[in-house]
Amino acid sequence: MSQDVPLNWYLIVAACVFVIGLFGVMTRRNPIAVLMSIELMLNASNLNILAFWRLGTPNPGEAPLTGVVFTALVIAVAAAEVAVGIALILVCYRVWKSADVDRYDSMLG
Amino acid sequence: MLLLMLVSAGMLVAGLWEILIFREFGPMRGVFVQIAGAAVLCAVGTVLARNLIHSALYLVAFFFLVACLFIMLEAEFLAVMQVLVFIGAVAILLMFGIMLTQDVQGDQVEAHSVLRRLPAAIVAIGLFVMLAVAVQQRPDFSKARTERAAPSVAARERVLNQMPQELGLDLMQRWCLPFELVGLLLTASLVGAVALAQPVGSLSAGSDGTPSPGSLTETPEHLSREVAGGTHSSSRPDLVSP
Repeated sequence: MSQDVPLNWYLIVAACVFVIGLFGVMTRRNPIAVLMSIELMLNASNLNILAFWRLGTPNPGEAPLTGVVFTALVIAVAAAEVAVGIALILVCYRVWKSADVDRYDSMLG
Repeated sequence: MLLLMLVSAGMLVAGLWEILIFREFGPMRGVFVQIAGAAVLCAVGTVLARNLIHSALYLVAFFFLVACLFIMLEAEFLAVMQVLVFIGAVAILLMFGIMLTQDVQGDQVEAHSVLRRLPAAIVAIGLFVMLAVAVQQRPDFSKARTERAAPSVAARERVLNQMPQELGLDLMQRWCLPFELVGLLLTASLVGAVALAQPVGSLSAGSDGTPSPGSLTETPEHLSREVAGGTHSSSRPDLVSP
């Protein structure tokens, strides 16, 4: 079924979403919006891994589920990252009374 | 609202495109174009929406569409996992974060200045062009290499129909160590998140106000106290509350 869609299309879509997430990380000022953009980039990488797993040419003798296991681990790491990120944002909000990454500048050189 | 209309218009255009251009390629490409186009539009909506709640809702739609793409890649188990983890947990956590920090909004005033966006747009478009060129020039494997990979491809096809079973066995046998490490990482990070997010004064352990040594909340409390002290003793007025 999925052999119908070429691998390059998935790669282009993943690159597109990754670039959009990068743009968001660079332009948004609210830390939660930055976190959302990071989620976009993580999902793009997941899509890439899975497309390579399903449609790419595997190494000879490779285990059949490598890409799926890799993606599952990335999803788990993403969940951990969001939990810690939200906690850090709340601490920053409490300290600086502001939800704006440009104001967190106590380490400004 | 405008972006929602944009998304539906995009779906419509993709559907027309499917009917007009992709008819001879088989049905899956048209479906792919529709799902992927909607996903990219939802990503754009996430990044551009001024209201953070709208951003989060676009993000939920994006997660769902990525799950659809996972299904197109025949990884149904991961699609379910994507919906459960990302929509069920991550998006809700982000909503909580938005609700807890909503009343001071730094993002609505200056975020849309051209000066801020132009360099970012240039960098992003440049990176996309680089990636697209790299994807287009991706070399094909040699014939012999493809033939040597044929047993692996066959094993992959066999596994597809019993994915959860095979995945569970694989996680317990071949990838046991990474699996356990990820479990440890999740536990540690969630405990750390809880410890970080405690209100500063609410958890002084000793009766005399000194935190007991070795307690879980010691480090973050000290940390936030230090940061808060540094903030308030700073001579820069813009660091204190606006």
